[in-house]
Amino acid sequence: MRPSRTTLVLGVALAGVTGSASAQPRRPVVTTVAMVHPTAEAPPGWDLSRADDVLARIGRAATGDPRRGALEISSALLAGVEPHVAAAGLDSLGVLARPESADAILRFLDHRRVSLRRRALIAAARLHTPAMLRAIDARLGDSDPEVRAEAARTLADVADPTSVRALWAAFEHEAGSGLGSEGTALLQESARALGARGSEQDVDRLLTYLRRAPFGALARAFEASLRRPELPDPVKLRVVQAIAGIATPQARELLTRLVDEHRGRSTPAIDAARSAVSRIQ
Amino acid sequence: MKPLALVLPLVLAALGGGCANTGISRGAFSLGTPASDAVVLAAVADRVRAAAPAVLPPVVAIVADDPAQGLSIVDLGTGAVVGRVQAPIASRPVVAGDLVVARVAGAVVAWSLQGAERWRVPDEGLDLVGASRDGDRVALVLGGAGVTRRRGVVRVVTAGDGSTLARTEIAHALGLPTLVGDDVFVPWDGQNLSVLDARNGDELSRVRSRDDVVGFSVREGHAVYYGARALYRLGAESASGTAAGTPHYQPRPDELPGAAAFALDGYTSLRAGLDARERVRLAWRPDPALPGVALLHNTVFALYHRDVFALDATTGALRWAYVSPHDLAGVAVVRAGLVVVDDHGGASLLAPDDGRARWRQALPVGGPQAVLQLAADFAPAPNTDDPPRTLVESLLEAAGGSDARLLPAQRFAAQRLAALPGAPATAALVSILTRRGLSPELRAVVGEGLVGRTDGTDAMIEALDLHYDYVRGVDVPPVGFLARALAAAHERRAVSSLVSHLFDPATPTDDLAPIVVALRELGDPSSVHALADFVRLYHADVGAVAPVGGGDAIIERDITDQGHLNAAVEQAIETIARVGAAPERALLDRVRAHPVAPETVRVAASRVRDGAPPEAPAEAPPGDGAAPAAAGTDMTFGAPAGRLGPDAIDGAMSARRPEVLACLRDAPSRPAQLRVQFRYDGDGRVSNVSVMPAAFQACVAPIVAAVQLPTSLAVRELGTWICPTAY
Repeated sequence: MRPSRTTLVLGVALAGVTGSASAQPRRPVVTTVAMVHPTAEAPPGWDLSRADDVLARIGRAATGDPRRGALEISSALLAGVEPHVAAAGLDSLGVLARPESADAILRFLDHRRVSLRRRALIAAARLHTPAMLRAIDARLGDSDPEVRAEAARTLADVADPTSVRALWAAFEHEAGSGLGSEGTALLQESARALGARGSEQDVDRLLTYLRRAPFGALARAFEASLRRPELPDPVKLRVVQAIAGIATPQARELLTRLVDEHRGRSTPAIDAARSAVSRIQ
Repeated sequence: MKPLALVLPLVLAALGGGCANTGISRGAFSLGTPASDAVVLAAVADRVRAAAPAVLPPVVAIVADDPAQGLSIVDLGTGAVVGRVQAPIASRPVVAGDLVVARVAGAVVAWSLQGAERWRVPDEGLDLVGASRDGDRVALVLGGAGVTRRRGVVRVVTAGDGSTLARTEIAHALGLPTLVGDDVFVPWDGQNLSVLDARNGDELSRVRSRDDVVGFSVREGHAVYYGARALYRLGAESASGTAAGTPHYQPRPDELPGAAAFALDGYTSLRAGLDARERVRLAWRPDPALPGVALLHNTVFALYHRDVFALDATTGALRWAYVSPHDLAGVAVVRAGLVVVDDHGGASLLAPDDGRARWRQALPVGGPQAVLQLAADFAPAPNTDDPPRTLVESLLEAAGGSDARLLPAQRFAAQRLAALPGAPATAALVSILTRRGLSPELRAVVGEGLVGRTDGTDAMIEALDLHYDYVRGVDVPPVGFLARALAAAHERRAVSSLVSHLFDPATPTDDLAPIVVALRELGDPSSVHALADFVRLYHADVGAVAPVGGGDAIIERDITDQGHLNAAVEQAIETIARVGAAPERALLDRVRAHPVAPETVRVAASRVRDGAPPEAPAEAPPGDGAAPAAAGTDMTFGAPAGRLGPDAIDGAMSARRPEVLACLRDAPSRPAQLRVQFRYDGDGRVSNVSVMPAAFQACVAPIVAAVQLPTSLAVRELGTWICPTAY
């Protein structure tokens, strides 16, 4: 059996991100840890030709020591297992969310099976390393529409600002693709991701697509934006006013959902939504 | 015999002369009339030589989009419309000096270039085959239903009022006529060229071809030419009646776009308006100034809708290609080059040496059919100076575009491009191959053209740097072809890119095996680990998987894709067995014992583990300076000995080509080629045959599977055979 590879990983802990008044930014604390990589050989005692046995071992590995479990499962996946076993292994790696899984997840992000690529994306979202984010970004351009949409969903969950540019590229590619009032799955998911995780500027930019992109996809984006507690009221008000401005039944439906969701509350955006709902026939 | 041969024509001429006063000849075209001898034909040629040159105003008759609306006559010297004919045109018009002649309902009508009707004669229920003007007479030939419909009329009329000077109706098919002085040259029945007296219709002399076809006659300067599949110059030698005994130009048998014949069928009338026969044809003009039979510029221009290919008439070498912005409605060869008129009214003069436009003129009208009358010395003053273009650049343009009609021309351009040496041609081929929406047929032609090129591999490597990206709009590069080409060129710089495509899910599964084979042939040690990873990942990749959102497990790969994947894994196993180190070779034990691995994969692993791995050749490939392999630790595969080359495959397959072509008989659509992929082993057995277009799979596959290929060191390899379908 080939020996495991070991590399040094920089662990960066950012301190003081919560509104420190100090003029001197605090330096990040850098620690080094040794990370063991999985091998491409079956873990000791695993017979990879017996799927049931491997599935049972994956189950045990997933509930034992996370680091060791991630290594064993990753090694098994890289050594080659049947696809339904790989699916279970990737699901487990997603649960374990250990950096030792990275090699296996990256490999399966490029697997020829759509179902395994999607599972690898879900597992990748839990790792949140720059390399993994780049790999997820790349799947926005996948040849399969389900994988593309899964990648956008994953990026919405990951909530990393570095992915916003890739999401915009995907959104704008799809914005003109037609497909009725809903748009493609990638459009819906990239719009939702931008609405949920984009900056104020991103939300304002989304508003410019009203009447230019399928409303169903934009509605998902704006609903996500309006639910964000940290988004300033003026931005939310602009969103509501813009939706009210198009005065379509779909716009009324969206605003009605907003009003119902916040029954009894009063903010500038909700008040404007109430007013618009009563006005739009 | 000789005295009789001399006397008989005189007797027949005397008989014919007896009817001269009636103006109607009953002796012409008689089957019993013998061919003329050399003396008589020399005298005819002398009369032609002495005749006054024909007057040919430089005009073009442009038929309206709806031929029922008539035509316009444009002076190409000034670009101005000089006349309009408001009559429903029923045949392709003929410009005959200062007349335009065409068939209308029930009559053949002549108009002046200003559009005024001059005269009309009955069409006698026949199409207008052709008309020829010389002096104050016009010769008309009616018929036009093909060489097998044997009824025709020759009528000679005065150009001024259309009064009939001679009329002959016969039960023969008549071809395109030519009038020179008092002689009317009329091809007939595909075999003969009779010379009639324009004054009375008597047959004066005759050429009978014993081994070729005669369909047209044409005057050029002081000579008359005739022929159909070849071009003959009328003279004393014509009396031999054989191609060998008569100076002639024999067109090269090159495969041209649309399989255009040397000349249009002279016995079949062209219709008014858009006639596809005019859009796909060859244009040329005899050069009477040269001895023997030669073409102006020694060039044949192959037309295909919008494209023009200029080919050396002697060697077939391509000189240049030109792509018109619109379909070409008419062309004419002149000494200054090729004049083209497109269906939007754009006229250009293309220089004969490089195809650059030297003169352009926007005509006031356009239409689907433009009939040009230009003397050979027509030479408008140059008014444009397009930048020079290389042959590669012009072929690149001709091979591109999205006009599906142009596929045969695109294929021709791509084939000619592939035949050109040099890096720019390679780059152009790669550029075509990486275009989005490229038709599978053209992709195969270009891809096969790339394999075997050794210069310009940088362009191939650059193309491999691209990976499919839906959002950025990047298509999958043609990895399979590039892999084969780069392996053949021993281009090791491609290894990392090929590995990267091996693991790219967007790479088509049928490209995986060529990638693996290429990696083996390139022999870079770094690829062994990648190939082992590939085997690990896919050796047991069969069966169904539950969707992410739950539900019944589904099989995500069809049988064809699974077969391609298995073939790639097999190839990787072969490679590992040859050059892998112990850890990689140990992997093969696991593969052959895996219960769900596809049988072909398990058998391959067993085969290479049980038996000795395929032996490395005694010598390294030429030019590869690598040292001989140390057992199992190096990657100097020496793969060429393990595969059959394209020539070996083609040689074996071609013997069955007639049977394969029989499969295409009665097919509603005949492809230009069949692409046959298959597996073969060292004993030359063929299996797993895949045929494109798939419509011919059932018929062709068993034929190909029965072919015995030459033996080789291959354990299991993939082969491709491109079967051209042109007869």
